[in-house]
Amino acid sequence: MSIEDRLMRDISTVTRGVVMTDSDLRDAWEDIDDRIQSDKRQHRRSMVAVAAAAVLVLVLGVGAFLTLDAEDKAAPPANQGPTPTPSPSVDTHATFLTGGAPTVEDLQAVWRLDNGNVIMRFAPPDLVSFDHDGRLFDNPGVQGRYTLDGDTIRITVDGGPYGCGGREIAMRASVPEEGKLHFVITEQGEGACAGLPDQRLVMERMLPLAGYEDFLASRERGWQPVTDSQTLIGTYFAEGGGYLLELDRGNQYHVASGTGEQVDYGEWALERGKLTLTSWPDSVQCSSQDRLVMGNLEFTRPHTTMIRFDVQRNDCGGGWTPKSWVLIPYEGS
Amino acid sequence: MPEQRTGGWRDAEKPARIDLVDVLFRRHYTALLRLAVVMLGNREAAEDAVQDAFVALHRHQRKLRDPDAAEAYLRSCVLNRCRSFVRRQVSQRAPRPLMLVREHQESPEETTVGRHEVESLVTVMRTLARRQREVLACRYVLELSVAETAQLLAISQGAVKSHTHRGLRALQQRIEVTA
Repeated sequence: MSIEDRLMRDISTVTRGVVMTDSDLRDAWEDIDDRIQSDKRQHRRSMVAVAAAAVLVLVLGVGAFLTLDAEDKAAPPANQGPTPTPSPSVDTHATFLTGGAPTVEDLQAVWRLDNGNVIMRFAPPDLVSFDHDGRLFDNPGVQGRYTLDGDTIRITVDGGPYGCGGREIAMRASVPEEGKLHFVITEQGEGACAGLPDQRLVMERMLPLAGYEDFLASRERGWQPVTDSQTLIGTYFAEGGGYLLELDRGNQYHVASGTGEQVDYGEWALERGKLTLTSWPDSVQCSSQDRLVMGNLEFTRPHTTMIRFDVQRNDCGGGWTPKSWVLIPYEGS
Repeated sequence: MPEQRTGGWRDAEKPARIDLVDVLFRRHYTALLRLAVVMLGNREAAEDAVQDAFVALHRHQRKLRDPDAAEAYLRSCVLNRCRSFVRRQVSQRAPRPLMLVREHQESPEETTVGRHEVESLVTVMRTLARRQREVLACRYVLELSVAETAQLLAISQGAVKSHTHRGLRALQQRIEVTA
């Protein structure tokens, strides 16, 4: 039997096992119907809120007009009162949010807070995660989904160690130039979910590559062989851009390619100065047990701000070339 | 048989948009669920993915330029949600390869699915690269042609053939290694 026939036979066996009774179908439809109705209620609430706001504005406008009209007819008061404050409808962030609103294509990337540790990742179809300590794949603090409406990004948090599950965070965003993103937080989640309302953030894009070609490691620092695996834990950005490598405390690693997509993950180990990455079966682009062996591994002291190595084995054929890798959270410290 | 609730799936009083979703639900739900089960190996997650797809269809069907595109939209949504589910599992630091080991008490239905999958090529298929497993699912679960698969996944027909060939070859290699 050919492999194709065998696959078809096994698929048929699995799909025949998916039995749907009338009761299953009713339950499934009721679940879908409940969610559609819930969607509609939410939409109606939004519409009512918008309508109420419009009525309020109208009432206030008419009231103000009538008041001004009455005042015009009366004698001018001796004291003109305080200078009116600017209307709350003035966009106080207009100068910061320069450039156009981002598109989904603009957003889908790995972003780093300018001169900070926050890393944010937007990925297809609607996934978003961010972390205040530079974690990208290893259980980042906030994990959820996003929608983009005009310049407003609304994040619904699904989970993550910051305990923000179920909360919503909203922010306005603009693209002032290629590779930059400006955020203003407009609705704050609670606790450590996000920054403060009206906080302004300048993000720089790390992947896909944006202007990091000159981002080279210093040649003046001292390099030493790595003997303690704990010194390696962190997220590294390839000198000159193009890849991210995250080594976590559980000895798992993740690799993101130039597009910001995760391309490989598995287990890492350090033995006699060699760092070995072994792909797991569900690695996106590599096969199970593919190995990448990095020899002559060195790092910089006093802090591990960079690592470098020679590629000694590369089963998966990724574009690993000898270069230095910069630890993101402590870069420049 | 349990009594049907008002507003249940056979209620004829629904607005047109619900009606279309209802019709598509009756026509495609089971096939889409089978697709998701093959992709994920977990019935509960598969049901979530397919139900998500129908809710998304209801939300976005006005934007569909061609009403006949709804079926393709649903398939695409299910594949996307399966992909997201796998990604989420990856990002949650699954301690073992995905979906190969169940963490909770299985229901009789799940046990049935699980038993069918013992030593199944379907289990091995889930470990292939994303494009390969999606192309194989389109070709052998949905039984789409090369052209239909290419259209659904927004790739060329050449890429469909190439991913099919590579996917089958990888399956062959893996079962040879296991044997």
